[in-house]
Amino acid sequence: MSIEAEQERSSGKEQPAEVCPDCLPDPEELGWPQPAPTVANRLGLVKFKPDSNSHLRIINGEVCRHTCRRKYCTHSCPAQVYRWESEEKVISIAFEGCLECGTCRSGGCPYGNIEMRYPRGGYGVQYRFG
Amino acid sequence: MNGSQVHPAGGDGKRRPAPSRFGAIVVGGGPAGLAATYTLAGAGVDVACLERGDWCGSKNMMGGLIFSQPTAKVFPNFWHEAPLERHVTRRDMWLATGDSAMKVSFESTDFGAEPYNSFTVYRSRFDKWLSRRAAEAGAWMIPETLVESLLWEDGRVVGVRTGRPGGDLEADVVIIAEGVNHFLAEAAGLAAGPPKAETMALAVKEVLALPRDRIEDRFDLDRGAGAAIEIIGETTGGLPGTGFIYTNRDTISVGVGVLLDSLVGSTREAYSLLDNFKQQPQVRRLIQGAGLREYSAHLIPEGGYRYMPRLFGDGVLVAGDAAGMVNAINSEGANLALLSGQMAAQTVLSCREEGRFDAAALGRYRTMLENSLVLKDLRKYSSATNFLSSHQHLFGLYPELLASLAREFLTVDNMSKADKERLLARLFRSQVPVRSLIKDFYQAWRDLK
Repeated sequence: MSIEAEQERSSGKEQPAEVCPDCLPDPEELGWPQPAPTVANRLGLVKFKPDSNSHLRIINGEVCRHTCRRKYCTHSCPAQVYRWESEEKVISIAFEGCLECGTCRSGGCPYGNIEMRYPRGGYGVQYRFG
Repeated sequence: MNGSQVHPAGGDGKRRPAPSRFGAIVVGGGPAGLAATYTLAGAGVDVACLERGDWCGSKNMMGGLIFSQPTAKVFPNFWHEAPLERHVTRRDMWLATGDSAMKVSFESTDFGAEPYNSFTVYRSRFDKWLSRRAAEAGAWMIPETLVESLLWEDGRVVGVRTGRPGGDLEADVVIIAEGVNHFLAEAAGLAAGPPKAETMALAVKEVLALPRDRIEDRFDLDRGAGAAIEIIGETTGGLPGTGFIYTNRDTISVGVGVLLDSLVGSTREAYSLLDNFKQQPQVRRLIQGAGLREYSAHLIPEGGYRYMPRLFGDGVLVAGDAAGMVNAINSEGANLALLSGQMAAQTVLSCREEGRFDAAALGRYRTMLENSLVLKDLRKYSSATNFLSSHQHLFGLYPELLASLAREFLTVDNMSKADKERLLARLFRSQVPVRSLIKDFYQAWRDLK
């Protein structure tokens, strides 16, 4: 029946990877302390299916330039999607690495100057573990 | 609309086109949405569940546990089949400082036998399993489909507009289970606007791989059993929040959750707090050598009872995180989502008998929730989040104070016990004036009792 087929399709694709204990490096060999991973390191381990268009948008660049001194979004976003480009004086948006948490929409920008929507269906972050 | 357009691209040709009209549409394939979908399909309702991810669970993460009994109320004996990581036999609470931890631990063999108490899971797999159960019950599972807006007729919700071309779907009733970012609840006029920072916590989490026997040795666990550790104090750099460590089969989940308005105001980064947390010596010992496998982030609606949106309207119900159903004090959310989804479905079933889905008929959902543990618990802790954000000093001060008292008390040196008692009393008073101590405890008792 179609519903099973639908399920099979969605479950057959993108099976979350199993953790194979034998494939892991011996933790004692790795040593400690390890350097803290950067956000880029972290995002490199997350699977994304980026859309071509951004689902995030700065509403008014003047607010970033003149009103917002501390560039809150560059700190509040857990995926470091927002960066202040000091030469161009704009916030750049690396939407491809967005974890879709909604922080930027819920006070992560205290000026409410970020428009966040969800990516189109089937695009964006795909957690293997979650 | 042409029903076949509803279907995701790249089909295998075997699938029957979905109709464009349903008895009920559920938006979101998480615990709330899937409990609703499963319950409705099981009762023979023609129900479609729309999920924006490639599969149910692909957008979901949690720094918490799946509690056995509430989950079994919707999916009986799920532990025989569901993809679970470990059954939790030990719950720990730590008050940590930069170099010490005071630990309270409860362990029970009861928790290691059916019906168990709680499980660690990977939500990407667990939610997918829930969606398979809903599909088996006869529901239309439609993944890769974002609902962009609601369809209205004479002031009532009559369906949804999906992101697919011509993808309008109609239904007698729409259950909004879209998660914490409640776009549709806002569009339905049930929520006033985006969730507010003072009602949200941001959680960031890492999944760290470690061979399972090492996990069991390190956490002192029986084979297959798990531990859940909740940590208050230095872990969040004095900001109101907690750290957590959960054991999975061959990974450890480590994360921090912080109240969002404090975090934003501090201009500290959630991942920096997580870095600090992982370096705390007692935490580091448990996770050292474990390799990073995944990083995730999510908002948790911790505002509680006072900040919930309206739960129903004409032709529409709201459940789970979208409805703000999280008990932050006990770290419960998925169970409340499952139960509220089930109750939304039961509401729809009873309204179907009368053939009306207006707000007056759907309003029994609210009554049902009020009479259940979902809203009883949320009401009980309705002042908790206010208390925590107005008492930020508790997250730094009291763990430090207790640690210094315990350190002095346990350090055997050349001081007589009488002198030591005087020292402890002095130490105590110097850090917390008695009046503010009484005030804190009174307010804690008032708001958290």
